[in-house]
Amino acid sequence: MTDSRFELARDSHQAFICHCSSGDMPSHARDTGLRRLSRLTVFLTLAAGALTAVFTGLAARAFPGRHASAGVPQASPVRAQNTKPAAPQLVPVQSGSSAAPASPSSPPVPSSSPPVATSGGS
Amino acid sequence: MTVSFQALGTTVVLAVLDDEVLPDARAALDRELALVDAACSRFRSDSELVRLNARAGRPTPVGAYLFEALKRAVEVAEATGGLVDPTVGRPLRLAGYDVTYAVVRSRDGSRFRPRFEAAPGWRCLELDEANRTVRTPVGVELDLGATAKALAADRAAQVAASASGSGVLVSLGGDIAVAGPCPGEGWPVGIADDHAGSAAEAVAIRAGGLATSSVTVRRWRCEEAELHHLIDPRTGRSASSRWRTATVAAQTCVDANAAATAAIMLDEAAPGWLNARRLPARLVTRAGSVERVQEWPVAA
Repeated sequence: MTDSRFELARDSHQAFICHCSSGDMPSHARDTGLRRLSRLTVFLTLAAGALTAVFTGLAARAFPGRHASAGVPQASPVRAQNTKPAAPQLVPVQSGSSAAPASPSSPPVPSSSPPVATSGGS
Repeated sequence: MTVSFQALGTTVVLAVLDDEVLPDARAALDRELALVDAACSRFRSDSELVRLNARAGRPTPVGAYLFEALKRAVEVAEATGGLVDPTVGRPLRLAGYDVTYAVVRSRDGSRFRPRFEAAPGWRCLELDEANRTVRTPVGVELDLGATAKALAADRAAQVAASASGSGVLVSLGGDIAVAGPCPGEGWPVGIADDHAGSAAEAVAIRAGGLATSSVTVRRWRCEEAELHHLIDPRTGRSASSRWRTATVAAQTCVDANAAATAAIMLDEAAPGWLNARRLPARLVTRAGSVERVQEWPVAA
């Protein structure tokens, strides 16, 4: 703010205070104005709180944070006890040795019947 | 009773033990085919996978089917040490498989100069199960060609068997899954380089899945050579292998297909890898000789 604007705002504010505290303004009008000002202050406080909550929620959804990738182990138990919101549950990754492919419950056997389907490249 | 028809750009076979329940089984199968096509197709402009690839870099909500398909693809990548990897979409495209195979096959590729890039690997994917969102880094393209069809066969066999109350075999382009009761000796299945070709031998399976990967199919010409669709994620090039065809039986069709494709990538190491996992397999060398692994039977 420039000096001239600052002085203008200061002078206006002082004039308003003087106007309210002098006998120029009826007391009931001043009280009504102060009540309105009080209600406005309460309303703005509540609105600001509500907007803060809304934007916090939106930001949390839009930027959920960096998760471990599919190939990285899940967060440690210590981190899980943190009071921060829990990270989304990622797909667990199996270890290479125990993962599929799994062998069949019964192996193929020779067949002399006409095939119902043929397995081949496609 | 058996019916055969075209879907997902390949041949679909449905066999049921009880002829009367065929309509119920067919309806269940059709629903599954529609689901997998809408979720996992790389060539349908309105598919969820295409939308996901277009939104790389941002967490993207996906449907239950695509999420399941991606979970299975990640599990397969983990189990095969990245030999079968869903992040191979961009390498496939750069190698020339950028539209449906029917178009790739029909166009003159003699002046096409492919580029080869290694796949970034499944570890870069972020799958958030709680919110059912997926995030891929910018520049990463997913392709579920190695697992989605097999997953659809597994699911379709299960739902068709449940819907019909009959034993069912489903084959999606040679990716075969069975569910429910089976014929006395098991479901007879032919084995070939190409599922549309004549079978070299036949086996019977009673449960689970059976799948074949082969470098003899889905081939196209480029400036320097002929390429095929089994892209090695480590190099971005068509796999160079001792084996031209690998057939594996496993607990599920997804497992069978993953192991068959991994066997092609593993080259000489394939028999040992399959033996360690007790997976019956039939491997065919480029020269045509057959190697049987585990309890794969000698032809009758």
